[in-house]
Amino acid sequence: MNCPLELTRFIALLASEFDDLDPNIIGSDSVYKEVIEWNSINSVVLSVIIEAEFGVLLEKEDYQKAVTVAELLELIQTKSD
Amino acid sequence: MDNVRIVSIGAAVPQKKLLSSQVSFESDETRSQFIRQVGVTEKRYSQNRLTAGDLCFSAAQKLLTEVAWDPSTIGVVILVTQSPDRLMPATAILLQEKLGLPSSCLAFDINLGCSGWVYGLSVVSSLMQTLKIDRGLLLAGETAVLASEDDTSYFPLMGDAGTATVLELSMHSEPMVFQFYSDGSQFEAIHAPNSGARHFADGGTEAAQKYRAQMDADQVLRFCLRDVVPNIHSFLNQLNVTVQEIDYFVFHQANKLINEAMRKKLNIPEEKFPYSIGQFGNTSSASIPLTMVTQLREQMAHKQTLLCSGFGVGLSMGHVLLHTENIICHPIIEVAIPEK
Repeated sequence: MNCPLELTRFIALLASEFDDLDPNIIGSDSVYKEVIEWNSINSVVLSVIIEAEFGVLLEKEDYQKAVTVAELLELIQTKSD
Repeated sequence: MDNVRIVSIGAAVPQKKLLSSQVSFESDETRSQFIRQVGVTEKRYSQNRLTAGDLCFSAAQKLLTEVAWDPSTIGVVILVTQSPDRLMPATAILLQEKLGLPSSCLAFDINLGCSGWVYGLSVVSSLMQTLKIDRGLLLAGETAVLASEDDTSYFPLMGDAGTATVLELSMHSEPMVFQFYSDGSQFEAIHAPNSGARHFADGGTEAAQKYRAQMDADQVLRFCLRDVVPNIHSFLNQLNVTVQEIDYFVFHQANKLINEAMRKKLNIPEEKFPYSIGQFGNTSSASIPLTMVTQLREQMAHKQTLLCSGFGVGLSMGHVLLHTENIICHPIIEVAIPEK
């Protein structure tokens, strides 16, 4: 289970990069491919900020596996261990 | 590589600009995001009325005049392109005749994209050194002919440009140091599926569509951060050269988002990392010399240490460390687009 502080920090990180994303209406169960307009630019933007923040370069399959914001963070944390 | 010196570099682009605001995107939001993140504000695009061969011809002709070299003294001409005039013969042979180069001149094409200028530099220099050829001409150019105008991710990125680099044998030149890397397992990251004999597009809309180039930007990002960045690190370590000792890092202009991620990982200061992608888009093998001509023209006249790195389609990469002095970069040439 993710610590809420880490989740809050992760949501703040996403909000800092994606202008139209309101951190107040995103929760652990939010589907990140819905809150972020999922296209070929944004998928690269997301990979770049995750790599810069956590040192983890996610694979295409990872984005298929993780559906919610919490699942994505959990996957990143697993890979960074 | 010893005893070969870059004398001068020139570039030519179609006269007409295509602004990113005029290109089709899925939405206005995607367009502004493309301009902001990918970094292309405008590019040059001739709608396939000028070929890479035409643009390289203009650049080369002007360059030979500027350096006052008699074309009959050129012993080798190589064109790096993935948009040749024809699949056969090699476009470099057509340019041998058009530029007035002698029939004793070696002339052939190299089928490479983003990494191509660095490979071409190595091949031309090797031939000059081995065969004792005094003067050589390296052409690198691309047009967006393989991109479909309907493709809202690949087409907006790709621009047209042709470049020429003239080289001479010189006993007093600093060595050029190269490193190369190829990974055919990732070829589908950037490819044109039906463009050759493996799946020949012999007509029909579907086949013609599959002829078009496509790119998986996520896979390209992974290649750049996972393979290219460590490769550059190891290259610098082997040479015992630090980032501080290099004046400019002239990288292939892949995509500003990806290039910036690479720059940050390599701890390269912004002022050492020029971009031409904003005005010209991704011009494949032309992007490194085009960046020198458009962004570093004055600096190239002085002594510089440059790390040039080309990476992309193949997947392939090549780096070269250059200690240059007095390279004359001529102002960019704008070529009128012929009527259909």
